[in-house]
Amino acid sequence: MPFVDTAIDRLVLEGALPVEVTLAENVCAGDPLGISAGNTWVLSADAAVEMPVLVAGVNGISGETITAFGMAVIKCTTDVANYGAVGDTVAVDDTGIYVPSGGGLPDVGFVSEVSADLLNTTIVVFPMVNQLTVVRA
Amino acid sequence: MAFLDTSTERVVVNGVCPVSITLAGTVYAGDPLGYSTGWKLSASATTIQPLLIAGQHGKTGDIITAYPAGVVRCLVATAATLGELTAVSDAGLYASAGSNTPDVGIVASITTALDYARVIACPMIAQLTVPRS
Repeated sequence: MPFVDTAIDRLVLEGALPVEVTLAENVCAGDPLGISAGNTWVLSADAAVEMPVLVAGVNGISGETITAFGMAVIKCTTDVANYGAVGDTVAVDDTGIYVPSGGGLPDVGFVSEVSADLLNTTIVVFPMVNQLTVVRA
Repeated sequence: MAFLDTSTERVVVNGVCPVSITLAGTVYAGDPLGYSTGWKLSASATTIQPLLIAGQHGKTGDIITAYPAGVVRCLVATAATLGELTAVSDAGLYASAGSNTPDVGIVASITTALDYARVIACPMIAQLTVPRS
């Protein structure tokens, strides 16, 4: 069953590596954040140019400064047709929602838990990780 | 303009998963640390790949707290760009990523005056590359 979160009612259960960021557009708690072409923090809604780097800790509007996390545990709302499977690798699609890995989308984490009613999927994400690739030769 | 920190006035704003280590050289809070016959500044990443972030100052023989991941505020020598991929130079400085310097994190925020940058760093990540085939 492919995991697709609904992007609503997300809950950031835990966050590590907090930083204050100033938003250039409205975001919701748990949203993956990336840097826009204009060098501002926005929803990572087109990962080709806005690669996911952080996780929004709270809701915020454009111009607001919020806490974001480098790494987080997020409870996502799904539906019974789109719940995750524990251990699935999770990516961010070009609309800024968490989906199964694949299709050239950036991996950000994995599914750690699925609720018994299949309506909530908990994921552990560390979005920046796969951008750190170069070691000293 | 390529980001370069000054290595002075670094502040470890946040650190996770602390470990206690014994130093084999003088280090300052926020320094990237590697292991080569002891924990020391990752100043020549060829042989001392960055793995940890020093949580405090220390000298040879001292036991200090270090972190595998942290948020480091850097005094900037050359301005950073928001979201910029950050590496460690062979002088042990946080700097813009390059083709042969180890990636350790990203620039998460910059002060209005461009004099300080906060870097989220997890130095070991780039070295963890092999899944079970």
